[in-house]
Amino acid sequence: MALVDTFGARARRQLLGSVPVAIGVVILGALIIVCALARWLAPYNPTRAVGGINEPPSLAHLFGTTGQGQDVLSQFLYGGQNTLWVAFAIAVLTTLIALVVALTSAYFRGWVDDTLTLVSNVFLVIPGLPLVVVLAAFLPPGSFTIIIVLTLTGWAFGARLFRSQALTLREREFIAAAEDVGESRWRIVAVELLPNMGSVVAAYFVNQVIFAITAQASLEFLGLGNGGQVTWGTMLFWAQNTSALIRGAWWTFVVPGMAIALTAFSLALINNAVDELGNPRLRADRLLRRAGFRKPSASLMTPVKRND
Amino acid sequence: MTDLPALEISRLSVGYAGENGIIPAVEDVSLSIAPGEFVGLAGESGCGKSTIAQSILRLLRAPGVITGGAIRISGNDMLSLDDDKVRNLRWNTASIVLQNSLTSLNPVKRIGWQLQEVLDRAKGIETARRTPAELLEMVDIDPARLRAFPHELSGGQRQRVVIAMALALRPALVILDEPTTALDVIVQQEIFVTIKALQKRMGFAVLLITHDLPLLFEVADRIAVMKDGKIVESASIADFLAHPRHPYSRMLMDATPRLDLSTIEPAPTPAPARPVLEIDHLTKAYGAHPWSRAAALTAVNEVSLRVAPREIVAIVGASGSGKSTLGRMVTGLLQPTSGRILVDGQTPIPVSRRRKGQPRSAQMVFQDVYGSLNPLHTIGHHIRRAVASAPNGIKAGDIEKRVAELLTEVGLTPPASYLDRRPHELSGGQRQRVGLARALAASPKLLVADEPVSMLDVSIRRDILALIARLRDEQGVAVLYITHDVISAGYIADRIVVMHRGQIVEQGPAKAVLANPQHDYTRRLIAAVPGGLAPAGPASLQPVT
Repeated sequence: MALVDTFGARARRQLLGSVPVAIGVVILGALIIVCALARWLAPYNPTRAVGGINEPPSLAHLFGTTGQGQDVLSQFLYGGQNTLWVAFAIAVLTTLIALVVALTSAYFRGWVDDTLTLVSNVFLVIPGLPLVVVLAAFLPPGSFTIIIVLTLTGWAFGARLFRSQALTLREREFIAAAEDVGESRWRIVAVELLPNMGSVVAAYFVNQVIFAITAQASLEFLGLGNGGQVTWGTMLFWAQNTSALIRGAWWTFVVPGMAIALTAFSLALINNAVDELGNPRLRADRLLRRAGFRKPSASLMTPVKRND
Repeated sequence: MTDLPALEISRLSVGYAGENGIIPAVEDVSLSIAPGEFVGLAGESGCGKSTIAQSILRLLRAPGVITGGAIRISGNDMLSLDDDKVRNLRWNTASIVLQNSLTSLNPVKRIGWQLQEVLDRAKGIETARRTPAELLEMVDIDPARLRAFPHELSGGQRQRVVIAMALALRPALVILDEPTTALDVIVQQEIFVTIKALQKRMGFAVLLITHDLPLLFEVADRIAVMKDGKIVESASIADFLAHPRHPYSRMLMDATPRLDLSTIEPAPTPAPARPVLEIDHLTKAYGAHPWSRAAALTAVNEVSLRVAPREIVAIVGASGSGKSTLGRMVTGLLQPTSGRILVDGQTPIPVSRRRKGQPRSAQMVFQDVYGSLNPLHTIGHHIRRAVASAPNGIKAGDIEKRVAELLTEVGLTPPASYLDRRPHELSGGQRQRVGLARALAASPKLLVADEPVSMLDVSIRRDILALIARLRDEQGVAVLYITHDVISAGYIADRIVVMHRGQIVEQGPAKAVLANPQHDYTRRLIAAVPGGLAPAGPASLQPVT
């Protein structure tokens, strides 16, 4: 497809060209792979008591055991599976909903646009976390509840972002030219407009994964998740419940905490490069650094290269 | 101090940092401007002239890098002084006026305030005793407008405010980077009259960057011509006009359109055939009030016009005269408020209700060669889509053949080598050829060309205009050529229609209108053209004071 062709070469070069992004990709890749292979890598069943209570890390239990005697390493691996798929599902869903709403606005305009803008504004002003807590409390606990709740509350900002981008692009002359040769409206939106939004959509998607992981962990930490299911969030919940902090069992909360932080960190690193795709100024600064110049000050001063 | 040159550039090289090291944009350029001298730096887009202009004050943005040479402004070495000193020299010793006055002025501050900000930089030197009001008066703006915001001023007035700022601290050098390219000729002329008068009085030196040679001949003392990052020729205007030495200079001179009005052919008798375009009492109003129905702005006001088959009609007017609005209504991109349009006997179908295969008798050629092609799609895609949706359906198997045919017609040969390229791989001229091929796909009766060459370099403009004229001859298509450029209108059109404030003020056979304009506005428009219609002579634009 056209999008892959043009975006492909540049995106590959830019995404993998810089050291921070490479680090981000490696960390995220490693996390995803070990979690996906949990069934073969995990030494124990994550829900069973397989050792003593709050045993510190040892050869038998590399990351120690929890207050209920479960193996922390196995919990980290299986919990990662649950946490990551839920987070990516939320990111995919919110991005899709935001895109559909934004493109519908740009396509129909008029009263449809007004209504959709009103709806997304309403969702934007609703205080997120309280609503999430209330919703999660009423629905049966579990992954699907979390997906539904966070999707419902998470799409509105993206819809506004994409709508403004789509409306800007609409004014470009190539859209008028496509209209002039008689292209249908939906085709203009799908083929002429949407591919030009690639970098914004990608940046938003990465941000949404970060949002989903942290929001999901917060909900579960508050006890609004399914306590019987192993996730990074419920690991924190149980660590808190069994007073791990007071007893000095740091391994029970540092491991899931670090896992969440590392995932968010690696995604943030990747996001930097995705941002650059859509922002030539960031790219210009990077090229300048690469040529060996530091940015001297806030005010504009073209650097001078001295050969002598 | 005064015997030092206002600007001395020696062996300057500037580059842009890229993925694989620094790509040179300007190489080994030397240029010197004496105090009070007016020097023009000319060249086509991409030759590096703006890069030089911005490097002088070290205002070139990332990833630009100065890679060698020296720049001295009144003896101050811009490249080795520390940043604070360089900042001090900006405005005080040298200043720059950029093309887009909307971006140079802060939209949320009143202009008086912004002028005061510049004056405050003087730090106790005697020039600080000037007031913003004096500055406005200096550039012929009513000082009562001090409290205006930038958007309340016209484009020409805004550029005057920027010039007033640039001159506020009496710098020794003012750099003008295409200051009037976005403005109309009449406004351009007025601004340069002001600048020349001020220069005579205040004695600053000027470096004018422009692609407009006739303008340079009128205002500058000396000219430097740039090509591919190098200055190929530098001479006084008189010398240059008498015998340009470098072949590139000669090519530029030849490409600069000049009209020969000595022979006025009798107006061709219009064919008795039915006009391809009939417009009656066409009006487009914006922001109509819901109750009183009074329009905030009437862009096109009661315009009536006929275009015969195979006729090229130029609509000439300043920006805001309604000429583009008229063109967009003819193609159905905009809906008229009232009045009647018939293209080939039918009302144009509004684009929102347009379907595949419907007749499209009027097609648009757009101004913005960079924005009118989707950057993500290939040239083949653009033309193929236009062919596939053309009326009287084409068989799927014949599409490729027709695409190749269209590309050949507009001079993109061999067509196969263009099909898989994307817009950014093409030059501006080639892009406009693609735009023409796309417009021709539906075999229209009328092409509406909205400033098709205004964004192109002089040397390419004539080729594209010649192509449009050839398409008329070969395809029998009529052309509505919308332009602000009287000279190109005279070059290509059979008939000229002059629009002013939404109305047609004059129309007639092209050369007759140019040689013997009837309406006062037309006369001003023609008089303001740099170089004029007569053979260009230097120094015809002198302040009347």
